[in-house]
Amino acid sequence: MKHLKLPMILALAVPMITSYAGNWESKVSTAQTNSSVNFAARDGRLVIKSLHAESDKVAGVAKIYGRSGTVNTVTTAPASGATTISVANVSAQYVANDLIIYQHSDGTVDYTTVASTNAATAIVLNAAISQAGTAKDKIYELAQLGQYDVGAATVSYIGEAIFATPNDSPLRVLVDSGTNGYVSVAVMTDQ
Amino acid sequence: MKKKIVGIIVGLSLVGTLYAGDYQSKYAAHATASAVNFPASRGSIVVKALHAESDKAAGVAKVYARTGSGVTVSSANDAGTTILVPNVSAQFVATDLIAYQHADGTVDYTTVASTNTTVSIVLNDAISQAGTAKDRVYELSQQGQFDVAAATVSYIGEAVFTTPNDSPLRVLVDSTSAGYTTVTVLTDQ
Repeated sequence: MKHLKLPMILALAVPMITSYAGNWESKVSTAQTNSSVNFAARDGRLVIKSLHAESDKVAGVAKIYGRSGTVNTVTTAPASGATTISVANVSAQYVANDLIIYQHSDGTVDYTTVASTNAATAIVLNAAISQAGTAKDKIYELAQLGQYDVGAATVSYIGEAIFATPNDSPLRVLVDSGTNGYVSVAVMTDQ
Repeated sequence: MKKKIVGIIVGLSLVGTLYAGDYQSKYAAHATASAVNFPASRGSIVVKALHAESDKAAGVAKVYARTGSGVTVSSANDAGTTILVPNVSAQFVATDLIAYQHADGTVDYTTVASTNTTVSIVLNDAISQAGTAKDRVYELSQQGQFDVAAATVSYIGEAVFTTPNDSPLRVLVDSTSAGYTTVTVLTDQ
């Protein structure tokens, strides 16, 4: 029995520790004009630990987007390149110009906007999805939930929690710039 | 001995689950007064990041939390201005700053217009949705202040500000014609 003590303790302690460790992830965009990064929704909240950005625009800001409203699962798997997405839109949750994250079941996220809606059963996107979908894919409507100043400068915001999304929400950070900008963001999932 | 160790580990695990808290962010951009309101939770609310911009030379971020105890309403209130809430010791008086917290966590910030004996208060703004018998009314007072001026500022750290237990949090940034604030907190600490 003595030999079982340590394995048992480890078996209980390791999951306990790892369950609160979360997952770290970083993304960078050097798109020069309006650099943006998109993180897929995961269980829990996404917490920004570091936001580093550059802009050449005096009024440059980092706009932070997260989920607004409820999340819907697509009703029929769309083909790669599709713009018409079958999804419940009963209460006209989605309207033209809505900001949308189409999240594939493998975690790939496609950011776009709604071009139009088709009755209560489908929406038409302004950009095609990047790969074939599955019936487990999700549609998130986004809203701006935070903002940090950049200006015509290079800035860093680093800390325990610069920003936190709601539960089950993707995260999008967009830095507006003229012809020279980039953004680098590190997040942790808050389990 | 083994049972003790296992018990301690399970106990710690449960404590960690119960008091893990949640990170939350809120953002407001308004011309003259950008304010965000967080609902009270069991423990303290700890501000981890306060980012604000103002175009006013004397611009500041004022931080508000409860003064006195939160009071549970005496019955479900309609979405109006008259709120049935015990006020026996005249805790609430005219011009008090008030956070009306709905059971779903929605917070309506307003001020007291008048009080009606000891059973109700009249607010200067109607509550945003019909209430329930579990809603709470908190009187607020300013308990912190951070300089903004005509600038953009960031205050980021382990604890920029903490509320008392069971207290809503309000952060207000005043400006002349352009301003915003983004606040991130950790609840239940």
